[in-house]
Amino acid sequence: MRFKYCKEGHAMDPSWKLCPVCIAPLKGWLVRLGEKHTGEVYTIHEGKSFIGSGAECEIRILGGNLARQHAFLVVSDICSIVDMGNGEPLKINNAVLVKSALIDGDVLLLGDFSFKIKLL
Amino acid sequence: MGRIVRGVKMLRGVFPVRPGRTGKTGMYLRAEGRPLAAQGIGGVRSSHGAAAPGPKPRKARFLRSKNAPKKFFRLVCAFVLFFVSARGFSQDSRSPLTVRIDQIISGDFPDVRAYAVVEDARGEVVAGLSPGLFGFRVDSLEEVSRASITPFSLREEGVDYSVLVSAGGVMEGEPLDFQKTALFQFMGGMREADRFSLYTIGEEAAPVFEEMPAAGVDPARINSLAADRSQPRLYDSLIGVLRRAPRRGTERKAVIVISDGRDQGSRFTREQLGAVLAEAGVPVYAIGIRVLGTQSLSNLNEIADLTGGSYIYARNLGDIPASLKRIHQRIMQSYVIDLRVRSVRADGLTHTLELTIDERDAYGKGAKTFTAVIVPVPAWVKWAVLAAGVLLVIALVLLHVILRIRKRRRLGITRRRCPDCGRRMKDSWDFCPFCKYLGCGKKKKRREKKGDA
Repeated sequence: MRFKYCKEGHAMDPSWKLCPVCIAPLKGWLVRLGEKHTGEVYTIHEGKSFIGSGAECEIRILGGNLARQHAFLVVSDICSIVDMGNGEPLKINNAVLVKSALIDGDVLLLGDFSFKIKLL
Repeated sequence: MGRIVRGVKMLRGVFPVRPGRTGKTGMYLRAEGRPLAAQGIGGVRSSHGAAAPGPKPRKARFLRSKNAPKKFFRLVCAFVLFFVSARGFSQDSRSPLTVRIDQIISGDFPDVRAYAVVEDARGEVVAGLSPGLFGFRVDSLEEVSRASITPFSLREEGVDYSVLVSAGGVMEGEPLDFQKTALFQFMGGMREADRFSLYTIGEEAAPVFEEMPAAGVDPARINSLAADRSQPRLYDSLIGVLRRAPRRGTERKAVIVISDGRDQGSRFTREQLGAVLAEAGVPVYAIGIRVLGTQSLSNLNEIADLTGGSYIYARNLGDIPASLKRIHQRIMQSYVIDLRVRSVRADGLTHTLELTIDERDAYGKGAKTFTAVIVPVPAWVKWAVLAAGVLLVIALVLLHVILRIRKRRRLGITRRRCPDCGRRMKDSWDFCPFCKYLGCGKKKKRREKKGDA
């Protein structure tokens, strides 16, 4: 089953001509840590974004033991993250948390992958 | 010298070397006690230059002997006996059979159906022949495919009879009455599936009734037949009937003509009639009756021969019913041969089907041409293909819709749409990103226009 994807890799409904995620203002990046993964960056847009391996996720990360809907990121005036409770627990700055506000430079552990959040 | 050697060789042919004799050439050179040179044989001339007269040839001496006529007569008798006996052995001692192929239906080529009648030397129909005795050839090529051969009488298939009767002025009285009697008898022998059409020979084939079962014919209509003053245009009438016959549904058709064979003032010539008969492929059976004369009866015979039908001459007018009954029996006692022709392609051309019957004490052969029809795709096949195509398209559309619904569900989209722009929305969205970040586009404007109207 093939989906329609935007340039940034977001799955789209065939009736959409524009990606609803990409048209939202850019608010930051999720940068994967590790020597082998230099340059692997996921964009964070305003609004609600699911992080996971599912096609419906706005930030889709394949591999790394991530659940289909691993975490839920909300970016408005402030940025916050909620663990969806599927799969490995979410660690923020090496602390296991279910819900937390994020600031620029926080390190997230999602499944087996580590990310640093960069906010504008 | 060479001439002498040649002469010796010639003599060897006449007097072959017998065992016990010396094979010396000198012995034979001294035929009749004189040297060959002295006899002048081999072209050796005497010292005088002229060829010396030799002895008379052996054959001539044989004929001059006292017993010569007797011996000669014996020899001739022996030769005659030898040739007669040799010819007798070489000749087929089996009795001949006449095989007539009435009709060949090749509309569903390569499936061909032929109706054949087998008659013995006395003209009696031979029924009950084993299917194994039949052999087939198409265009002189042995047809090895299996054929089903069944007597026509065992099938429930009907025959479309078209009977042409003469009702000209000269037929008034007994000739017409006997024809009517024959028709009534004929109807009595018809089966349920048979169809009967009656026409009169006039300026054209005038239908009395058409395509009626025997039970449905009103006898009054036959009784009401009366002689008229119209010219008997036999050819025109026959062509008219042959052109009507193919329109009917019954496969097997037979045209029966009761006439004296006279044709007066037909628009069509005999050649044109022949062409139409060959094209129609319907057997024409004819009963010849003598009213004014017999000179025109040959017309009927030719027509019948041309189409694979048969001609019967009714010596007396009272024989007409019996003749018609005989034709009916002949049709009923025919064989139905269903054959799949594999050796010929459907090319729309005329081919010859040859039917042989090889029995222990009888042998017969018959042939008739047929057209290897290029069968167009039947209408029902076209409709079936069209329906299948439509169903396939519908199935594909349905499959596409189902797959798209499943895909949307995986994306988290069910039935939710933006009330402003009408775009599909994910269930998790609190707002429509298109409306929020792009502003409501054309769709909203259209909706507003509709609302205003």
